[in-house]
Amino acid sequence: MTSLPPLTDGITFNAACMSDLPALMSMLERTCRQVGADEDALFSLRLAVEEVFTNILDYGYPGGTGPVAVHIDAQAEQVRVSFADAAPCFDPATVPTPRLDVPLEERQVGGWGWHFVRQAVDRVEWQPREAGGNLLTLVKLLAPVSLSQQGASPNEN
Amino acid sequence: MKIEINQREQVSIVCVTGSVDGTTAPMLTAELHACVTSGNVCLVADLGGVDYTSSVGLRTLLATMKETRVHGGDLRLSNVTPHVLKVLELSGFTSIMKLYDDVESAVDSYTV
Repeated sequence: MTSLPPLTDGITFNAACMSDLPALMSMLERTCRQVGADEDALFSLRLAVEEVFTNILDYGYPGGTGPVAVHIDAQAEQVRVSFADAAPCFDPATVPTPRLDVPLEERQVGGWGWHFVRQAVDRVEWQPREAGGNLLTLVKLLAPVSLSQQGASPNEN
Repeated sequence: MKIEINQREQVSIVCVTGSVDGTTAPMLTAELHACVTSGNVCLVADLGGVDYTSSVGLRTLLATMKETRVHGGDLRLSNVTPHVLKVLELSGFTSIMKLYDDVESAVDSYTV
């Protein structure tokens, strides 16, 4: 398996196939709750992370298996989730927005993944890696948490 | 994810609980397809227990709806939770799928 570069600050989950998704989602939820992310932010992050992860495996690797290093850096103000892979270069900005006003008969069974990602997070950053592959980063800004909310958090340290 | 199917005359009520994601959606797709191929084309999905779906769940719903309508039936949704509704709205699905507040209303819609 191709090795991926280490990323700094935060937690890295090294995944390789779709069966790794539940563990990735658990890590994402646990990490984001620790910084006070609310349910809406968690839902948006979960949606965006699954869509990116699924796209890398489905379209980046023949057979749907290959290295994907998912790095989560959760802060009180924002959560950054980065995906480093060894798949062919792919800039998600090239994916057009699907038409949402077409009747049922003309609807394609798919094609919403990147649309959801763009709607769910505040920034999508992509760059090719020098050694090959992609580095894609999602940034989700978090709503400020009041002191009283912090005090009520079950995950407060 | 858990799936429970109850028959109410000609309507099959498919009660789904849990998350519909890349690892669980294939099971839901298979169960809904099995309903249609066994002749039950009037479906109601009770989504009151579904806290999350990604685009793969939408593909399941759309594919099933198309399949049922080919045979003169439909797939109608009930008890849609706020986060799932958000995904339906983002994809424009609320304009092509019939949503009901509860299972009874969705079942009754087939006899009106």
